[in-house]
Parts: sequence; C-alpha cells; structure tokens
Amino acid sequence: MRSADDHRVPPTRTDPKGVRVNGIKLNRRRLLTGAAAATAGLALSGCVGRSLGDYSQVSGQVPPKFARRDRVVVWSAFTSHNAEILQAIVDGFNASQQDIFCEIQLFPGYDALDSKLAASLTSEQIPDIVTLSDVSWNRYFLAETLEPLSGYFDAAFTPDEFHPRFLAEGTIRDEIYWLPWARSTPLFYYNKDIFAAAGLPDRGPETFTELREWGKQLKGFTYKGAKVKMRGYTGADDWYFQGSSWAFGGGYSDGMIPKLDSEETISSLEFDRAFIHDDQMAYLASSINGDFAAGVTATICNSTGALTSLLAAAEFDVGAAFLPVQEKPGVPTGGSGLAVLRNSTSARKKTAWEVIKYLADKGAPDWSLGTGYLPVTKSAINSPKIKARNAKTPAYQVAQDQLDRARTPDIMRRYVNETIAEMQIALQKVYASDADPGDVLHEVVRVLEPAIKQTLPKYQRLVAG
Amino acid sequence: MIGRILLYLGLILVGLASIIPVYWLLSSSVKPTAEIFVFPPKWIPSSLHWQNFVDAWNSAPFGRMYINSLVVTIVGAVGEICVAILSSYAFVFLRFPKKNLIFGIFLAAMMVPGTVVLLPNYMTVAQLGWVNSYAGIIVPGFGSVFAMFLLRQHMMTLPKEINEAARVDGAGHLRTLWTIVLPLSKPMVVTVMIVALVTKWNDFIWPLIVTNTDNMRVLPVGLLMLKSDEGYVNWGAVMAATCFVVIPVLIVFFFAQRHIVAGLTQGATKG
Repeated sequence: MRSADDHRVPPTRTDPKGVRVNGIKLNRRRLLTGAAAATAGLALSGCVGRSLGDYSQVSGQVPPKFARRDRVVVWSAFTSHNAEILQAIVDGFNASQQDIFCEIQLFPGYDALDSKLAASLTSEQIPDIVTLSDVSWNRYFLAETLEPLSGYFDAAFTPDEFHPRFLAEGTIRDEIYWLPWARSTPLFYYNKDIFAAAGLPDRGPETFTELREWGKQLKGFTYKGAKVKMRGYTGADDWYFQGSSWAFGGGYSDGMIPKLDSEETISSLEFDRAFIHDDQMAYLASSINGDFAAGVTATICNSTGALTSLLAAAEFDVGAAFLPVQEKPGVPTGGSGLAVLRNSTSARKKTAWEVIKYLADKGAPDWSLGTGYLPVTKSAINSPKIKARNAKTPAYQVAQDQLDRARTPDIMRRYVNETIAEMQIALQKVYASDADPGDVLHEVVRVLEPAIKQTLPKYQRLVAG
Repeated sequence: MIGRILLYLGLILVGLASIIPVYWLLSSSVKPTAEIFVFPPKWIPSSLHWQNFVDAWNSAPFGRMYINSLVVTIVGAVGEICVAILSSYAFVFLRFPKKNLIFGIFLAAMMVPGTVVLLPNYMTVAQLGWVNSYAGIIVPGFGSVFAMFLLRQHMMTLPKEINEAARVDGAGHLRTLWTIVLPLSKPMVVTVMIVALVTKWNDFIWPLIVTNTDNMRVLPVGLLMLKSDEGYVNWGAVMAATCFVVIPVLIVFFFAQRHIVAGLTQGATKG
C-alpha cells in the first residue's frame, strides 16, 4: 500500500499499554477518546498543544540517497510557479550539506493547508515547518501550537537578519512566533496602453475620488474590440477592502471592538457600490488577474506577489503604483510566513531551524526574485540581483517603497476566524447585488458578535494581557 | 400541440444549460488565454492552442495522479458496492433483532454532513498508519449508507417468494444473492456503481486531507495545484487539466446511460 521510499520517524513515547501500528500507539481508549475529541472540534481549541515534544513526524517520500539524513518536513501552500521556485531553493539546501534532508509537501493554497494541519494536530502527526498565512497564524498561536523562536537565534544569525516591520508582525509580547517569508502588499496595477489611448496620465490615481473621475473618462472606451471597465473587483478576498476601509478612515476593528459598521467603513464600501452600480465602470470579476491580462479591465488592485506572473502574462505595458489614498493611506500587509510547531521534538525543532537559516540567508533572494514577493531579509534587500531587477523593472521598487505606508491587518481580521468569510459574503452582496453597504456591514457585526465573545478571553490572556 | 412544443422547448433549454458549460470547458481548453476573457465571449477559438494541454500535463504529476484516481475510484467503488449489496440483502432478507432500529440509525447517519466525520475518520486512519496510502483514501469510503439505502429499497420490491423458493431448492444466502437477487437488481446495481464511481473520481477534500505527497494525490487535488492564491492563473491550462478529469466521467455516462435511466425509473410504474 505504501511506496518503498516511505519514511516515518517513530514517536518518542514508549507506552507499554496498547499495540503499535506502523510506529503509532493504538489502543481502543485512545481511538475512542480521540474520535470524540475530534468530533467536539478540539483541533484548534487550545486542548491541542499541551504536551510538548511527543508528536510524531508526518509520513512522506524520502529518496534513497537521503535516507540516512535527519528529515525536516515543510508544509507549503504554494502552487504552480511559486512551488517550483521553493522546490529549487530546497534542492539547493539538500545539496549544500550532508546531514539534513528537507522534504516539501505541497497543499493547494492556505485553506487546504489549514484543513490538513487541523487534522494533523488532532492525530498528533505533524510537519516541522509550516507556511501560515498572515491571517491564520494568529489562530494557531491562540491554540498554543506554535514554537517561540527567539531562543533559536544566535550571534551568527540574529533577528536583525529580517525586515524589522515584518518581523514585528510575527512577534507577540517580545517573542517571535512567525518569520516573514512570502510577504506582500496590494499594488495598483494599470494597463498603460489603455491609459495612453484614453488620455489618462501614466500614473496611479492619487485618491479614490480621482480613480472614479478617471473611470467616467473611460466610459465607452473600447480596447481590442471590447468595452473596458475601469476596475475589476474580487469577491474572493476581503484583503483589498481592508486597505480601502483604512483609506476612508474606517477599518475592521479597534483591538477587538468592531469598526465595520462605522460611518467611515460604510463610506468605503459605498464608494465601491457606486463605482460598480451607479457609474457602471467597475464590476465583480471571477478572475481579476485574467481579466486584467486580457485587457477587459484597465486597473486592478492585487498583491505584489502577482507582479512577476502578471508582467509575464500581459501583452501590454503594465504600470504599478501606490494604492490610492483618501483620508489616509490604506495599505495592508499580507502573504505568509514560516512557523515551527511546538509539539515536535526538540531535536526536530533544531534541525528545522537549520532549514530556516538557509531559507533566510541563501533562499530569500532567489525566492523574492523568482516570485515577486517582497524581500524580507537583509540578504534579499541587499542582493545585487534584486537591485538590478528593480532598476530594470521599476514596478518592483514601487512595491518596496510602498511598504512605508503599510499596516498590519486589524486584530479582528486576524484573530476572529469567521471575519474573513463573513466579509467575503458581504462584499459579494454589494458588488453583485447592489445591496446597501450599511445594512450589510451592520449584519456582519451582528453575526460576528458570538465569535468575538468566544475568542476574547483567550486573546486577552495570551495577546493583550 | 402547443404543449408538445413547450415541452420540447423546455427540454432544449435544459439541454443547452447542461451542454454550454461543457462546450465552454472544451473550447477554452484549446484557446489562447487572452481569448478566454474577451467580452463578448468568443465561442469558437480562432486557432487551436494545444499547448494548454502540454502546460497542464507538465505542471503537476498528472500521469501518477491518473493512476491514483483510477485505483481509488475502481477499488473504492467496487468495495462500496460489495458492502452495500451484502448489507442491503441482510436488511431485506435476513431476520435479526432491532433490524428497523439499526436501519434507522444508518439513515440518521446520512443526515450528518461529511465534514463532521472528517476529523474522526482522519484520526482513525492516522492511528492505523494509513495516512498517505491507498488504504487511507479508499477504506473509509466502503461504508456508504446511500448505496445501501438505494439497493435495499430496490430489493424490497422483489417478491419474497423468490427467496423462499431458493431456500426450498437448498440455496444458501450467498447463492440466492448471486444467482437470483443480483441478476434482478442489475439496473439498480449499475446505477449505484456509476454514482459511486463518479463520486469517488470527483472526491477532493478526503484525498487532500489524508495524503501528504504528490505521488499519492488524485486528479481533483492536482487540478487545484494549477491555481494560485496570489498570482496569475493560466486558465487555458486549468481548462485543459479539467478536461483530463471530466472526459473519463463523460465517457462512462455515455456508455452507461441506458442502465442509469433503467435503474432510476425502476419502480416508478406499477405493472
């Protein structure tokens, strides 16, 4: 049933009771209580993560030539081109030394990885390093499943190696839990050909008001035989709306107090509604990247992580600019970082740290270069290759420069699990059905109240305290 | 006459609603990516861009995933049918205490969403050491209440006298099942088999959760590997890869539609 390459590390416990199947202790009580616990949804409730150093390593595939090495398993949410870049970096690590084999196990996106990780924690079989998104790592922190990493740094590899503002985002009460890796902010992308043909300036709009005025100028304009919209919106991610809500002076929350139904936040969603339904110069796109590359929409707001692939896909000059400002800048940071799971053995954690050191030093420049994600370590920021690329393609430099305006997502969006899903529904109602933004956002706050109450005690104990 | 015209008009609309998405999938799989997004839509590709299929095939280990999907689907569906046939026969033709209560409990289990039992199933599989193996993907799917329920409902329409006659002739339960009940239940067995095949072929969440490595992944999981959370998606390649997944199912339906219709309409009329 299993491949010959299959490699499993036996758990460190040696309990005389119960039989072992493939190195895993199996007795009736454990099976039954485990099933009951899982049904009760304890995967991330904080009951996980109490006993340290006793979870076994997940199974996988180890090529015979690496069979004698210590094994580190990295769970990655990167797919397609980005997965190839990461694999090349890890292949470099495996070739650079004789003691450790790093195996990447891929999952198709952050949600898929989250589902798998919750199940793995419940069954006490875990990877060593995980790529967790900017809004999911906090939940694992609240569940006390992440290893504090400050103690692993030494004189040769200090926290100063990382970009300070990104490192701060993964730090709680002076302890680092989440290291920056695939970090991004949204950028304003525009089709230079359309802008030039429509008589618009070759720059991003300074304000949302200006964006809307330009949209009216573009009305009726055709590109490649089809009418063009000014902006394509996505209903699949509320990250961009988080930024525009700040730009209008609103936001998701102040600490754990909701601000979604504030006048300012409502006015930012009202802007989107009017742009789509009154002006009819924006629309809800099923694929903002695809529509932009095809010239269906003149502008999109999308991640810096999309920059490399968009430049390759578009058959026109792509402009990249800072996001529009209204009352103030509204630039949220995003992407993902690396975390180590605390239920692993101390030996495995130390081995995992060697991989992280390599990624931060040797891997980070290649990662940023290959994917378009922001450089997050000194080695990447100071890399001559990255500096040369930025000089050749200024859009990359724009992404780095905009970091000065960036903010961490609001507390509620990071710690209250249901926030993002509810906001996606709310945005889709407004974008697709012309629903009233005030009604929709008041409803979101009402729906989220129980979730906030449930999360609050843990948040106060572990974060705010 | 007008009623007949309206009926045919309705059938044409339903047919189009079914065919257009499939046509769009097939045509988009051979379009250059830019053509997929033009508005108004371009129904006929300007040129056949077969590179999409090459890009799709090379972007994930689809060869291995095809093998995995075939193994999981065929072994899983056969196992599910075997369990369903045996259990439905037992519920119809065997007498044992609390039979209806047990059947009621099984039916109640159908009301529980699959996601609720995901973690308990995963824990059981993990404890057995079956994570990232065929056994882990396949075995939990053997017990299908839905398949058992359909077959039981069908077997209840069979005359009890047949079973009694077989008993008089000295046939045991397995002989009765094999020589009498199964031949009479063929259309329903085929229907349930096809439902099982399609369900297992398209299953995404369980094979994702229970596997770790690409060499154990199935096609629907591979399909998502072509998409990107952040970044540009080559939709032409995604459409081409979707064809890899969809075409085998369409072929199965094409050849088995007669049996499906017979199975689903059986018992709809009284003779």
